[in-house]
Amino acid sequence: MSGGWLHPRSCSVIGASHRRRGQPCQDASLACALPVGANAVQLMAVADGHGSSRYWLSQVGSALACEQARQAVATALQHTPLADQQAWRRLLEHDLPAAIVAGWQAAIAADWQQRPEAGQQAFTPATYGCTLGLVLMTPQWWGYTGLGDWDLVLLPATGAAHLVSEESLTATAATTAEATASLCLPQAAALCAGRAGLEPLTAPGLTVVLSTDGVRKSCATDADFLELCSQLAAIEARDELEEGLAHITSQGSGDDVSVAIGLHRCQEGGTPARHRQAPPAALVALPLLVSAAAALGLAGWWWQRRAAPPQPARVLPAVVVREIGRQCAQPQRIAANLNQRRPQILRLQQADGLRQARAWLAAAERDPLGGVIAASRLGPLPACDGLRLTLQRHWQPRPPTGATGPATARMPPTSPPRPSRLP
Amino acid sequence: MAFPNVRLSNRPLHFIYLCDCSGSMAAQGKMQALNQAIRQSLPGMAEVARQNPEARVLVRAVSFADRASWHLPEPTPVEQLEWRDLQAGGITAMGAALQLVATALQSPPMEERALPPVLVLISDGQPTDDFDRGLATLMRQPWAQKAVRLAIAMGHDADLEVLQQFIGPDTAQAERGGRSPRRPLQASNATSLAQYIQWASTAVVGAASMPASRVAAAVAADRAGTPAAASTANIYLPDLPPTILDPTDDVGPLVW
Repeated sequence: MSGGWLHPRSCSVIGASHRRRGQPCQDASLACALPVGANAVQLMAVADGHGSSRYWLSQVGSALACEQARQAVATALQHTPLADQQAWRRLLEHDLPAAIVAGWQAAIAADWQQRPEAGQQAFTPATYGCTLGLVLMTPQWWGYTGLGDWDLVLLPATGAAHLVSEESLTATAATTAEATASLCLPQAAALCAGRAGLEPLTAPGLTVVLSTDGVRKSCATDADFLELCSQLAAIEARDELEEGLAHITSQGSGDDVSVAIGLHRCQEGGTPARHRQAPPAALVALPLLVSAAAALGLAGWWWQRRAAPPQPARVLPAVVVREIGRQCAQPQRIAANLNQRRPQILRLQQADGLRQARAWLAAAERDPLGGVIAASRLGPLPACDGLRLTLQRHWQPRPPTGATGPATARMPPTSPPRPSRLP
Repeated sequence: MAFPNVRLSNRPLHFIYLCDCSGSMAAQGKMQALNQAIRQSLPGMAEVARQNPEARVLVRAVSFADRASWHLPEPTPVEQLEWRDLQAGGITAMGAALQLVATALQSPPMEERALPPVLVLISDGQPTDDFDRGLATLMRQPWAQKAVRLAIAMGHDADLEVLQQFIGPDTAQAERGGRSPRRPLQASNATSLAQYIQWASTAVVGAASMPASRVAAAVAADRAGTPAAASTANIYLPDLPPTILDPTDDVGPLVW
């Protein structure tokens, strides 16, 4: 079959209700490429922290779930040929969930041990409770697994969009409102078998959309949800996706919302210019050879620039250009200067961050460095590497959940992750 | 075409009063107090709804006496609600009221994406019809099982046992003792009734408006015994309001 998967996209946006109450985004999402010999496979995942007071570290749990999914799939890829679809079907049903759950349990236990509460309270996985759904896209097939109330929609090249997988609780379990299966359950790995599947690729042109429950619950009907998934596939700009998701949660469920989108497209002349094919394995493997966090940031930055649609050259205000020059003339002070502006950066990571960035850029005469930060929020910055990479590190989620491109770093326990986003 | 170009919607939150309108409610101004308490609670309820735009609070009411009927049949946005006084007279067809609510909680007409409904049963006496059958009919509906079910006993003649059956067991609280919203709230005068109605229509509605996902009860069965698992509650109910009379007391400044 002629075609290939584009680099998937993912995005998590804090729910309108959570934002109003000062709560963190408890969703996390991941979209990355993993090398397999001369090829690459694409992985995307979404995780939804349960949220209420009992699950008070679920935002950490969801970020770790995505990271564990990435690690478990990467490990499985080393041992199981992609051509062995039966083996991969078993992996998706049993072995991968077992590895993810085991890794997640170890990761949350390690996180807990670093917290001051560890001395006063007993550790329980429920504190980190979350769902997880993942989709693996390979040249010959695509598969999925996970547990919880995520939804997976397939948009075939021809035909109607339809739900491939949704949570179906037993009658007894469904008596609890807003009930969902969870990674924190002892039988979590076994529960994944019912949500796993593998579909051979028979024709190019399909799209798969993975989303947390906040998206579907924001739509008036399931028909609207399916239509929304179709529209998601056509979104080109990350900013547009973020703003759209923010609109969805504010007009809908108020819950955190995450989507991950995988597109399979024709290779000969069928690939729209705006969608670049996923890079070959050699390029995918490059970031894995770089162990330093700065190098990871560089890879992510490069990755995003490569995947991003061509953009016209921006005209920055003269005061911003001057400030860039001033900062680059004193590279040893860049990190300290930007650390002092951390609140501004966090402000620009809010749902209305783009609007705020435009306002600050317009007011750069009053705050030139603020203008530089705002400009970097709006797009790539023509600056020296020191300034560009330091800004990039600030924009990366903490911990990086691999929202776009590779990301593996762990977070400090006192720093809960924010929704995955990049400038 | 702007994204997203689909119909988005907040989630309906159905709030249903089940009000005892038997003849005994006419005594000692109980019916007047109930009408007053509900009417006075509406502005607060509307404010909570305004603060939680992700939920669309829709109010209905069932009255039961010789028979059960919809006093407020249409799910009415709380901000548009004008409370029409209930009238007392007759016996206590509580079971029929539960059956009536059961029909409303079927899917459809209940929306799949609705928030857990809130059902508030208010009574001063004992059911005179087949309560068990009515409760069984109600509890066959998944939405009734998911609902937040509260009960207010007006005076000390109310049948606390049937009200507790309506709410469901409160195992965790029974072990700990003390006040619990998962036990019948005993309103012995107009003031405490008003406080409980206000609490249900504001604090509970607020909590029900922002539900968080939670681990499904059945798949968490092996965790039974932990505080959260022991509670079959569908939302984390807020604390009860401080009242003149503790609901567990059986003495106090009785008016009714």
